[in-house]
Amino acid sequence: MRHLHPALWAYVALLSLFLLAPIIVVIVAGFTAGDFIMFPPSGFSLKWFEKVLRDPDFIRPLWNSLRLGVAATLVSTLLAVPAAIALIRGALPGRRAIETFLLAPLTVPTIILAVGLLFFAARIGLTSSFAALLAGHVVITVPYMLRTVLGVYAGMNREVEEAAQVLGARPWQVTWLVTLPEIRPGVIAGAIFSFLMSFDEVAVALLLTNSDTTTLPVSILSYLVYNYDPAVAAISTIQIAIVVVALVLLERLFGVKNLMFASR
Amino acid sequence: MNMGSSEGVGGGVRNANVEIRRLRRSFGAVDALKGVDLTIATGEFVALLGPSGCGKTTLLRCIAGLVTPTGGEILIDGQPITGVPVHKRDLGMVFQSYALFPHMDVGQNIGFGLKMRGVRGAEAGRRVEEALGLVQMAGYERRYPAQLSGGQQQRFALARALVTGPKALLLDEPFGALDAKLRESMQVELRRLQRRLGVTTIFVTHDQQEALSMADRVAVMRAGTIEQCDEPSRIYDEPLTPFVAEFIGQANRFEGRLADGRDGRAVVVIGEREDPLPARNNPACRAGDRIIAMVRPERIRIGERGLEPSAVVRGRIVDKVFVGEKITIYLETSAGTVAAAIANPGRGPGAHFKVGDVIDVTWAADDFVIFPGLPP
Repeated sequence: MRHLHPALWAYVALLSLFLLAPIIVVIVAGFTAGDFIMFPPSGFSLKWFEKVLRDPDFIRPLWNSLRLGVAATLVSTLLAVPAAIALIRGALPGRRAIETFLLAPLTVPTIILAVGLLFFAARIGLTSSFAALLAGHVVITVPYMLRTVLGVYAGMNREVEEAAQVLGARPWQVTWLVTLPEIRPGVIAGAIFSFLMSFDEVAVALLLTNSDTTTLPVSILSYLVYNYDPAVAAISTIQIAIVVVALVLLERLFGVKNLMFASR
Repeated sequence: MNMGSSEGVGGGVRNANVEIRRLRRSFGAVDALKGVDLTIATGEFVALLGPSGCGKTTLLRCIAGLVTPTGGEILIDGQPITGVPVHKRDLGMVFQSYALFPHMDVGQNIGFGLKMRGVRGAEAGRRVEEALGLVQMAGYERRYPAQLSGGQQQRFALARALVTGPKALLLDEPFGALDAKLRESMQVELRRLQRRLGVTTIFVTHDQQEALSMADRVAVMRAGTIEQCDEPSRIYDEPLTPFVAEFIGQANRFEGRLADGRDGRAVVVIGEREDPLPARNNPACRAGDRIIAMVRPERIRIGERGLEPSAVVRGRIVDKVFVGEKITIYLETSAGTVAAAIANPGRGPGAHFKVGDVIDVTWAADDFVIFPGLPP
């Protein structure tokens, strides 16, 4: 930072402001004493947080979103990690095609995906259940997991696996004792992306949830249709806090900074 | 586990001989190995030497089981192992990249092979310690590979390969990434260790100096075949093919015709020269045939002429290159350009040669080897 040119400094500051300003406005607005979302807020109070935390219409969706995010991350890990290993290791016919197919959901607008999932779920009788929602989010999160794991695994020195084989490791031992520990940074980075994608996903959730499975983004959206009070700012602040706490914890445990840059 | 505790470094390496029969391997349309035969005796140190793409690494990986041959057989102690999976072959291997497990410390790295064999606890600890002692790296158990220099990683990779007491040790260009000085000391150390343990060793390298100085026998490979497998001195002094002669060391190469050849003596006519030169005969050449003749630069002497039959050629010095311990003089002669390497004379005789001088150079007939040339 010391050697940064003043103009570059100004640019970085401006860009940071541009990225952070909306978040700051929301957070600050949540602590208002007034009855409307205002910036700067009129006075300081925690009353909107109190209201939100007592309101089952927010708390149940928050809980739903957390459960959904964790479940989608777990399922996509179980699906994408073996797929990535197979794609890199195997001389599979049509390897590139399979990879492209598995990454394809990235290129489809989620609302299109949501409409497709809605019809499909209705057709097989899964309407509005948690399972349908989970399936939808797994489709969205798998490509993120797959990408980060493929990136890390492709950059790995494969002679390490061969060395394990020569030393007497059976194929499953090579995977369990060498490959998985080696690609762990990719799995963790992929899990973070997956959770974040699921946690604030709107389009699929909007079409596939019912009153029992409503997720937080959906409930915020529907609340906003009729209300303009700082409760929305408060619940958003809680949502941001959950994400930040999760990232800080992971940073402490695994060094997320390195993980994010290790994945391509 | 029958690969129990009495074996390994402490109980001695389980030496085995390795036999390769008509081994073939193709990658698509490319034949990496075209029917290789090679027998390696128990405790022998054999270097596979050749330019990149000659198949030496493929051959080593076939022995390890990392590459499946298209045809032929590999036997260890007389047992065919072609169908045996990698993890059951009980070999040790050192990779070019060292391939240490980055997420394990040195102790865990070296102990990995023991763990796979069910050796645990105090016994495993003792053998890891012993293996570290072998490579003179005791006390490094808790370090991680990323904290180590290339030379240190090299030693740990070697210790990891030896700790299980493998039937044979396979090394794939293990010193390729080290600087010249370190490389040399590791070569000496590996050779000493190999002799001490008596472990059958197959060593892949593209560095002829390394192969010649370390191996009991050198197998020179080219385009998927072994051109010659012999002791280093024979590889150097009695090459069987022009490729071996030119790949190992330097050689002056001439094209000409065999005028006469009998009883180990040959007379050859080089290029447009009228007077024939004496050479060592090659039974593969017949009088009148086109031949390739070669002599090594350091076998060429200036001025002096010994008693044995020698070739004498007059030429003009066109270049003089100072190498250090020797000086290479390039001469323009009637046979073509000749490079002569002479020991650096300091201020002694021979120091005065300069570009433009016309001098006589000579080499013994025995140092002038011939091979069948291309048909006319």
